[in-house]
Amino acid sequence: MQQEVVITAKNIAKKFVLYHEKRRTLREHILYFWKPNRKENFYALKDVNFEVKKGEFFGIIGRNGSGKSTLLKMIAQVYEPTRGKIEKKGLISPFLELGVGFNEELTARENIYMNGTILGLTSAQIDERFDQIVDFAELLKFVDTKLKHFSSGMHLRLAFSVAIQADADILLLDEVLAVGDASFQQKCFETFRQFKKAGKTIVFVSHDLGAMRQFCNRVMYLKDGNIEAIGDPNEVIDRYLYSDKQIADLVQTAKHDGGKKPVEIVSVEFIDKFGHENKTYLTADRFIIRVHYKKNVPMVEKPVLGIAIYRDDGTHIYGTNTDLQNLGLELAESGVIELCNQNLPIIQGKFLVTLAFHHKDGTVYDWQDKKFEFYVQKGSNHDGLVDLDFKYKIL
Amino acid sequence: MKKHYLELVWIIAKTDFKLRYNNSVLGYFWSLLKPLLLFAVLWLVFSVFMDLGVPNYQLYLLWGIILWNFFAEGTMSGVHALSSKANIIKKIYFPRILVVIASTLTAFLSLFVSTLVFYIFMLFSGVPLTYHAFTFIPVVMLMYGLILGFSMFLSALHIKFRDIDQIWEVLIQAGFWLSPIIYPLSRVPENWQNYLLLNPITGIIQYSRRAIIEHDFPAIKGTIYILMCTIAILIIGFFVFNKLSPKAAEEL
Repeated sequence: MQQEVVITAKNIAKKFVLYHEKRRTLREHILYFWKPNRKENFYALKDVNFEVKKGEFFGIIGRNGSGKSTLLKMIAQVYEPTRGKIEKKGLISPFLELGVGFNEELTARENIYMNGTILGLTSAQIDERFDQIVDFAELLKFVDTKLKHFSSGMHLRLAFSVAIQADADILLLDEVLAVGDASFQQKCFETFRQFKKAGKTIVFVSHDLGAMRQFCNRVMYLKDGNIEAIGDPNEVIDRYLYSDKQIADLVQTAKHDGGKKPVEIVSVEFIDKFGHENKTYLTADRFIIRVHYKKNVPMVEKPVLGIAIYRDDGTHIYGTNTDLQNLGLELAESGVIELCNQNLPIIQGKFLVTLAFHHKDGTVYDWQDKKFEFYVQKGSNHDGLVDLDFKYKIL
Repeated sequence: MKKHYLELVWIIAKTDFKLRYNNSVLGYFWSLLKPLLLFAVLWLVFSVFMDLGVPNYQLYLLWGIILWNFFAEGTMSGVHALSSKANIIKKIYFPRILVVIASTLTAFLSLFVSTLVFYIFMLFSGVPLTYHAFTFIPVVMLMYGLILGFSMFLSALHIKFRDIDQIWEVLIQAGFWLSPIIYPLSRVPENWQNYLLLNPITGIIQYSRRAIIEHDFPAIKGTIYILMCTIAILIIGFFVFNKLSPKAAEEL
């Protein structure tokens, strides 16, 4: 299916000039006129070319400072490219961030009108959609309350509710999903599904790789101002997560190995403390992983079963294998290996699990990369990622 | 799209106004009192303490202050047009000129209210209100042209030079005394009069006072000069603004 191209970026480069000492007043400019001001050129983007097609969900990933947001701002026309050209077809909703133009001193009602107008709605359109906006934000009781009395959650709900009303063919989102509680995020995702159905084009920058995998048709990985990879979300995201090239190659060979795997992981179950299969756990719950495997050759040499757990942003939080635990693994024709943790010391988050069989020397037999996921809900009154369970002692 | 831009200008201006006067009518009237108080003091000094001997001096003075105040208020908020809207400009694209228009609009409100005060004053002064009063309209248009031109120029520079607003404030002060607001142009030594008339605002104040108070239409030559000046300032302002404002999002 040949789709219409709605965004074309050609040879985009963006230079920022960084002065060692920024002169901000006329007085300084005159006083230090004779003194040279040292400066450095910094290219946030070097030479970027890509196209986005109509109806596509196009994700942009990369480490901090890789030029993602700069690129988005150029698509939105907030920044001018130093070189190159961006062509666009259709109306762009420029909401890079939520709640642009929000003012603490104004009421929710006034802010809806302000923000809505900035997003390109006419006052008649806002009148028409006002109830819908307030309803979606669940703020009916607070329409005439000043924004400064709002909690950050209310702020966000209000902003998002206005933002999704913008009539645009192309939406630009920058880290909008980074905040909000679980139920609100669900609401956001629901809205995205509707957008997708409605055939809108979305370009979005986020560190939420889970959402990227779920929604994007294509993902672009920016590295140091250049495109490192572009294409299938899973492949590009893996590439991003394994910036360490060796592992990336390993995963690639394991994935594309046409031949039969000597031993393969047939299925994996996560079992909770009640003995049921489950994906959501509480801190300090018992957590069991059951790996069902099958041998495809009579003899598997020095097998090792490894596990790695990642947070959804790719942070590697844990890893072990049978070899490290001095367990000589002997495989039956098929069987189950159980990994058990009696008190899961994770506080909260979404996690991805990699399970792999490999030879003691590292040759991969079967590598199921971040294929499995589980969630942990806060069941501890401690904060952070890992429940290290420190105890106070007053001396 | 055009209509939407108008609404954007309107809502930004409205919000600015609301925030400045904290949504209270009283707050707004306080700000109107400023030129009126200035008028009262200057009138006391130059009409009672040392009489300048100008007929209908109170009208002369008041109209001069009103027009100057329009210019001063318009450009002073115009200087900050871009920098005070950094939070929007950094995140969203729209023609940047809209914030300049929006921030100069509030000056109109005080102009209209104080003009009303002026005409009421005039009724009590026994000077007949004739059709010459309609010169108010072209005068305001010319003044707004100047305000817009200066505001474009200044707001664009203010991004780079954060002390432009302070410099402009001093210039506004100087301009107040160097324009024939308190004194009539005729009291200025003749060789100086031509220098003062180089300032288009001198001409605007002078001519419009003569029209409204003395029912005398302005000289064609002078009017053309003022018009040319206004257009030139608008063009320069627009040029500088177009050159510098696309960088606003990065510089702010």
